[in-house]
Amino acid sequence: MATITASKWGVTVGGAAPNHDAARDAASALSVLVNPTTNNGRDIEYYSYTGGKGNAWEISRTFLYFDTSSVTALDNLVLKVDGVTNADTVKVMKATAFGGDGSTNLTTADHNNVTWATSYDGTSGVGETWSTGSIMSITLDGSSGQAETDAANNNYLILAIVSISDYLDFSQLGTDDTSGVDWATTTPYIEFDDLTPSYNISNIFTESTSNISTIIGKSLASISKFYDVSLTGGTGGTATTYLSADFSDQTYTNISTFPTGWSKGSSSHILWGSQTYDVGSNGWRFDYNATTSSNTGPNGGLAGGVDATTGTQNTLNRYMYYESSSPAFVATTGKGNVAITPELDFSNALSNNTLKLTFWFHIYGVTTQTQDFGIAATTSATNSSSSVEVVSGAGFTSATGGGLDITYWTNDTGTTTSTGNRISGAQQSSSAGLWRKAEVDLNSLAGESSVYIHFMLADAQYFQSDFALDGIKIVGEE
Amino acid sequence: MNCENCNNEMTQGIYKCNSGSYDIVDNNGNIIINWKSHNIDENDVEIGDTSTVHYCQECHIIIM
Repeated sequence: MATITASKWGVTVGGAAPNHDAARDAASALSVLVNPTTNNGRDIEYYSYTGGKGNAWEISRTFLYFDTSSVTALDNLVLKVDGVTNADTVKVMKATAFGGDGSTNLTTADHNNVTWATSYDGTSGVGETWSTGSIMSITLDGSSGQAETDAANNNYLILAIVSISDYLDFSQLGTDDTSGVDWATTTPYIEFDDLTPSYNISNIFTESTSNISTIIGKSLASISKFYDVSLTGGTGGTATTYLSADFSDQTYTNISTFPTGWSKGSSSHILWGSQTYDVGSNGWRFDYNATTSSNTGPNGGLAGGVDATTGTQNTLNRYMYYESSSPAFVATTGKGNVAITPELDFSNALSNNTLKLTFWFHIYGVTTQTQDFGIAATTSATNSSSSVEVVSGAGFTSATGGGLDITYWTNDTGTTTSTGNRISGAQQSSSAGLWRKAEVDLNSLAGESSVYIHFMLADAQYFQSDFALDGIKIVGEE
Repeated sequence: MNCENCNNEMTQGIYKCNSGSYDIVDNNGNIIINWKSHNIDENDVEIGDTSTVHYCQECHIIIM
């Protein structure tokens, strides 16, 4: 279990206000306690009372900053705080204090830098019971694990601890919800399972030049933020590009202009066992702009080519796709075909987890989608079945069986992924949807001298089953 | 919405899979732009399929 202690902390103490709204929404606090090490017992407060000058409301909030720059993946995140003197019910919220990124200490102006829509703790509307005399454990699993996402994706985690009455935002007169932090004994910290992969600086050579220029001058801890989380290891070899295809030099409909060395399966091509697909015309081809059928396929190719970092479309960029219009689909039973790379020589590739295939995909059709996309690695340019697979499991055994595992984005930014030997059904929700990225671990192929990568689209059952690929790249270290 | 090639504003229109070609047509089915040819069988389910699209009259770029 890993821990990170707060490196900045403090309390904003709001001044007495004549009503609830003025107290809760005050842009600035009356005073601020910066990195306190002594206790005051009223660090989280909603206090309303009737005094000599009439009704008054006072609100105090505790803010914590954690440096999470060394973490890119984590689970089971828990906030550990020592309570003292007063104890009530609190909420833990996302916050933008400390300059928004930890660049400054807490100031009075941070008083209302609370993201009220995002609860970091998991019991929205209920809150966490504060206790004294021991270190509390507050599980930060609210808002679909947003605290874990923020800690992994940013270099920091910033949160606010507020009174439940403060959080609920309704005026209460005669309330004293007050909790204290034992700053003198324990500086608050977070505890979590650290799932961050180990990195090696050699991995920088597999990154795009645009990323490399971005990370110059940054610390090693920051550099790790630029890697795909699946990149691991690396022993210092020389980066080698085995395949790079953005199809920018292809004409758009003529399959005879497949890239040099590429081929398209024919009726004699063995997909698995004795299974063959005969698509006649259509099937794998090239295009730019929209594909021919309505409400399927992208509007354009990948804007950034093989080094793209986002799936932005460009209507003038070419891409490769499975055109599912007749005769390349069959209702109910499905149809498909395979496109094949040139022979690839991985005999000098290091088996250090750097050999990878990456590509971008666009799968959209307005009707119910049935197509299955898989990737095989065999020793044959005309056979993608398991009988000639390079390593166990790398060849196809059916439309949905066998082949290499694909890890692919399930949203437009890659913050969520899925892994399996097929990408099945529609993934984008419109032709304008962004391209998404996928990655295939080829480490098991390192050392092999004759490898053909087969891209199979199977089970097309309607003309709106277009499946597009772009920005295909295979890199690894030798 | 503007064309990525010429930056002219795109026009909303009807996209149709006619026999022999994909076209932009007017409300009466008259062809405005003959976009791409095809050899799909006349009895295929795709023939007659229509959709609303934006298109560039200059470059024939289409946005579905």
